[in-house]
Amino acid sequence: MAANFWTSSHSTHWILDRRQLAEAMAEDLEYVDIATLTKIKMWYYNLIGKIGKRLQFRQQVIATAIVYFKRFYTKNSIRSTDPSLVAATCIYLACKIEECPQHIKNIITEMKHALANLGGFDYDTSKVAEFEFYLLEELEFYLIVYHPYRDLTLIAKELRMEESNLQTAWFVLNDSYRTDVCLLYAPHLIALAALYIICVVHAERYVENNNNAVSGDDPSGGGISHTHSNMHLHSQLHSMATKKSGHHSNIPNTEGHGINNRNMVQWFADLNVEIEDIIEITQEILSLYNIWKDYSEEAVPAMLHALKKGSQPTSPQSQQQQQQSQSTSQPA
Amino acid sequence: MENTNELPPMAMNEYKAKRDSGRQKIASKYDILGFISSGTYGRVYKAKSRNKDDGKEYAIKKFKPDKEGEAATYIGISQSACREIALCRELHHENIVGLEEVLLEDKSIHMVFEYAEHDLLQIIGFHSHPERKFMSEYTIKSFLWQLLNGVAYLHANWVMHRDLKPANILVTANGVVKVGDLGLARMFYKPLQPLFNGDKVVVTIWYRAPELLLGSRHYTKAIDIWAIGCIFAELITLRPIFKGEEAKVENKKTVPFQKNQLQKIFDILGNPTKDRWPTIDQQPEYPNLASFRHMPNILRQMYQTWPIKSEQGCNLLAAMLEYDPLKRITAEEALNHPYFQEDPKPGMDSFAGQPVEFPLRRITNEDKDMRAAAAAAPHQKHPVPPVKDDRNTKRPRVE
Repeated sequence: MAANFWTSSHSTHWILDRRQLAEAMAEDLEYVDIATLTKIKMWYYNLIGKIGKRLQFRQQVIATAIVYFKRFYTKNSIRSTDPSLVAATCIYLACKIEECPQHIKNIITEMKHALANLGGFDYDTSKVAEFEFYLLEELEFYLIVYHPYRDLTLIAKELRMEESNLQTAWFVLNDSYRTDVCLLYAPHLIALAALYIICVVHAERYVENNNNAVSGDDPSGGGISHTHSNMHLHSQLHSMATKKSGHHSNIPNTEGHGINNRNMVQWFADLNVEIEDIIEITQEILSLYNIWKDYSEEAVPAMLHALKKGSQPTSPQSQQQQQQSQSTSQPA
Repeated sequence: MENTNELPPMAMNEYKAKRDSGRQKIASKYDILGFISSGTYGRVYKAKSRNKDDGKEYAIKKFKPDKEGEAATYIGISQSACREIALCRELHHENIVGLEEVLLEDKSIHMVFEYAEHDLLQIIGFHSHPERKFMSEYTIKSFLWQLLNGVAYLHANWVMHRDLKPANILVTANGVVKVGDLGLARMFYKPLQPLFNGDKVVVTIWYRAPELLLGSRHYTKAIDIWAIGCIFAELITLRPIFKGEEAKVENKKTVPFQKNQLQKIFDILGNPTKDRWPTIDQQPEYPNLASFRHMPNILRQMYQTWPIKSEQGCNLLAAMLEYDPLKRITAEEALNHPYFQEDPKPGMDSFAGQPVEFPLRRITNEDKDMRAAAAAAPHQKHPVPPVKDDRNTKRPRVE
């Protein structure tokens, strides 16, 4: 397990395929489109991140909570559940598993605070504690989650990567939790994809520097998503996202210029991994940046209303029918 | 009117009803044969699968809900149940007790473990009463080797057990050791917080390593090896080697200095010195050591009086009871120790060729809990009072 990802429950039970993810989303997609659903989920990932920041959690705790949240929604639709309660419970459980237990009241207080102008958080201690059972069951009691951060640190050491590059790759990993890659790929592949993105950014910057002599942007200034001070890098990623494909052939021989004077193309080629997987993860993350461009937090409540439409309390009969149709449209 | 600036109300009733109705009743899967023991965590029952193709026996550990204060508000699964579930779900090894499944019922977590007929506490007790009859060297060596084998697997997976003691070392009817009770166990790979911050006190006092007794903040997996050394000695002599008296925990903020326990250790191993343990002066309780009387190391002389004569056995014991955690033998090294190359060689059936018939684990039907299911169980011929699992080993926990 801890020493070996391949024998862990994460590897043997919780690496899914795209068909399973598509089935999980089917019910919600009857009401909203995929971009909207992605934004709704993003809103909840951000909520988990916000609560984590307020309670001064390490990134790994937030990441585990988000993975629990995602795993829960591979078996349930958003519209048949209350994601706020699910999120709060994921945070509570993740704290315990990551050995930084928080009093359940602190988490509820933070949820109430975060949702104060959004209709509030109408659950007390016993409701969250009760829901923990359901969450555990949905997770099939597999609670240990592997994260790419450790792999990234190891790779950075091996490549003797500059601190600023490591920082940027780290922020790409943080962003990766807003996509489903952690449900689809082993963590070391996600770490490699983050590194790959950094290489491409470097390559583009190298070309740009030579063409336009653009300078003065310092990637150590902050995260891709977390600050506005790094707009250049952000827009670079966005432009990569827009180009969508073909960019992966752009990694030049960066000898003397790229990450620690290594030929990164050769380095990736020599890895004993499916390079296609890394490209796919990269695409997934880049398409996130694309969606992010027109993401607005304020717009999400209306999206949730759209998602909920049709599930207004109706006669018991139609409720029953709904339940039946749910159970048929949902994967077991 | 709906306010689209706010989140819409999202009900969970349908979801819960659906999940509740899909849940299988424990009584439909298992027959409860009787009650085994209870502890701070909850109760353990013996059960048998109702599946005719399985028919195996199981131990079902039912956790008490974690409640808080007088109002007894339910606040979720306890940290210790969380750890045990998370770790047992990942660990698969012949010498680690296997978790069959986890079930929810009656607002409680039920962990279904493979059943083990014996444990080392019961076996040691059986050999001590009514009169002392020593265990064979083959049995002791097999217990020890399998225990080390299980713990080496834990350590290779960055898991520290932190509560090794005879009561937690289970043995099946076929003489296979199963390390149990991972409720205090945790991962030690790059912990987010120093281990000390989590649980102020770990390991039952008699089996607690000197670095813990001296207040070490950053202890290591070597604490498990110390406990195994203590268990090894106890298997030979049938008495705890360091039977100290625990200084009571007075308040939850401070940990008392365990002077009596350290004295018991020094009485046999001699006082620890900078020579034997170069970083001993960095231990928080180091200044307290000045008050101890001077004692020589008499472990080897004592060993001469014990029923096992192997010198390599003594070397291995001394290597496990090394003061300096850095010098203490690791589980992996211990498995390759010359002692295990000597005859009698250890085996996977610790009872093989032994004339002793161990009594079966006592179970009772007096427990009121899980009654409905247990009512169907056949009656025991001689009901005996329930055995508390903290019989002689109260373990203080500050969490």
